[in-house]
Amino acid sequence: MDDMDTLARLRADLPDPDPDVLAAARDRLTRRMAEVPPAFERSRTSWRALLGRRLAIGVATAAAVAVGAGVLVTVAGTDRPSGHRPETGGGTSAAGTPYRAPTDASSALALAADHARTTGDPVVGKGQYLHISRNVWWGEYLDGVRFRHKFRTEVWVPADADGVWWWRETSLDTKFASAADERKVRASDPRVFTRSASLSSGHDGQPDRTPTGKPHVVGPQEPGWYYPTPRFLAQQPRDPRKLLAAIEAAVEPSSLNKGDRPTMAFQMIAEVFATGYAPADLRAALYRAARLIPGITFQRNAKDLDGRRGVSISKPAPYGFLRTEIVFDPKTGQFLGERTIVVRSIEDDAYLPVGSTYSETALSADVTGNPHLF
Amino acid sequence: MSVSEPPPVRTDADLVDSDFAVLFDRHAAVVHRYLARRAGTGAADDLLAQTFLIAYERRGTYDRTRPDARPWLYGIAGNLLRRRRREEVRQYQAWARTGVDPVAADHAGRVAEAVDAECAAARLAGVLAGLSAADREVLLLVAWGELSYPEVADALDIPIGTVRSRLHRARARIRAAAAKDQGDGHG
Repeated sequence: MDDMDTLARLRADLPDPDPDVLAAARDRLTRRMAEVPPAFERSRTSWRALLGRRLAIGVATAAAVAVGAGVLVTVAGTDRPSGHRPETGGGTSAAGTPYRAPTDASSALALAADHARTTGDPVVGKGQYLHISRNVWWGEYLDGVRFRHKFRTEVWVPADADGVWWWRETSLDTKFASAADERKVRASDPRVFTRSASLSSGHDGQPDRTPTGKPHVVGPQEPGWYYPTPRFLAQQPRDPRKLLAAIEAAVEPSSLNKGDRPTMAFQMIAEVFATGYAPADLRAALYRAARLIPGITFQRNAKDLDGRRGVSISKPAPYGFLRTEIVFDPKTGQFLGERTIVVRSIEDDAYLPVGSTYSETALSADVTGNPHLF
Repeated sequence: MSVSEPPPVRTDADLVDSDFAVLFDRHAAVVHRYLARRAGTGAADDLLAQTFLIAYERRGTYDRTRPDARPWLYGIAGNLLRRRRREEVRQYQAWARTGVDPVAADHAGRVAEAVDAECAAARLAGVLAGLSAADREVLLLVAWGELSYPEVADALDIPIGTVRSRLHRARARIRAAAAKDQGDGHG
């Protein structure tokens, strides 16, 4: 008998796992899965994969948006005449009517849609880039420790549809519930504390190369709602009902989302806003599509990461542990961002008590030349 | 009435994105088995849940071009086992010393083995206890995890040449121990 055969037989007669043990482990898993809206998570992982790094390296857009947490998108320059406002229509009087504070979600969304359409997109000249930057706080989980990790993710979108895209992601900060937690993570994976930047370039919204010329671990993804590229977004319907139907059709029913397509569509809308490159007419349609989603709650006084005031619409995730909130300014039509809040105990009260924000993002944008990152 | 087609078979890469619970259903038993062989049934019960929780949290790191998630799951399980390295080595040592496998002795359904088989097992346990953690991991991923060399390389994120050299070293130790036993008249 070969030495490996003998070894292979060792402990081969151990009994099969107890079904109760498997059921308990599965239950722990599905409870964890229920904590985070799956659509968010999915795009988070996708984008992360696209950016070619493990947990510590986040994602551009969707990363932020994705994780579910409080994602706040702030568009730089919104207060400046030269404002670069790719996220929304921002014109303060774009609708040409006196502003009256909306008192419900429907009127607030209609107002935002009007302003998005009339304001249009920033002008990115030939050879120029739309530079979208996000500061992201989100929850990480490593070796049993939950902590918060801050990144800056930047993307440079070329004016030329076939031009080279650039990404840079920089790890900025970490926050731990205790010094013991920090020591544990430091011992397990010191890379979490590295303040280095990750670079990549690519085409049509998808990274394909690193500075060393290596391809990304995960190859280009099929463009779609989970991987929205400018070309893909340009082809989507602008009629709100057709747009919502297209988004809902793209949501894959699973045990993760209970097949709750309207809620998943709501989360998807937030993600698309946060890409930073949805064109103005699509942004207007997204606002109007959101009006068609049932069960949305409205908050008149909401603030973004920088303390700017707006309103918010929100909807609980399928399992009701987290609530996704989209924050926007109805006065200017500007999309400010989103956040996800813990609304039911997820049995992690030390780290994420009810009412806490899972993660948050601030976004800014301007027009630049080619960054030539490498 | 429409004619329904059979649903396409979903790869593990599909499940990582769309239905992680089904990924659990597909691999939990085999991952548990591997963990139990390394750490004992009681420890495996807990490590199994941890493995899948971590896998879920880290699913962004999963290489979507890989249709089979086992190497990835074993890699995560291996990280958990590494923290129990001392206990694992101790139980191999006890096995080698006493001839009784403390893991197999944990459960009542143990099949009585022939004396010479027990001797061989105890000898192997002694080899396992003496291997470096890295060599032991490669050896057991092949022998107990039934992974191919490329899959072990994937699981541990090491070059395939390193897999070969570690396995070669570990097997040489096994053969040397067997030769020593035979020389001592135990074979």
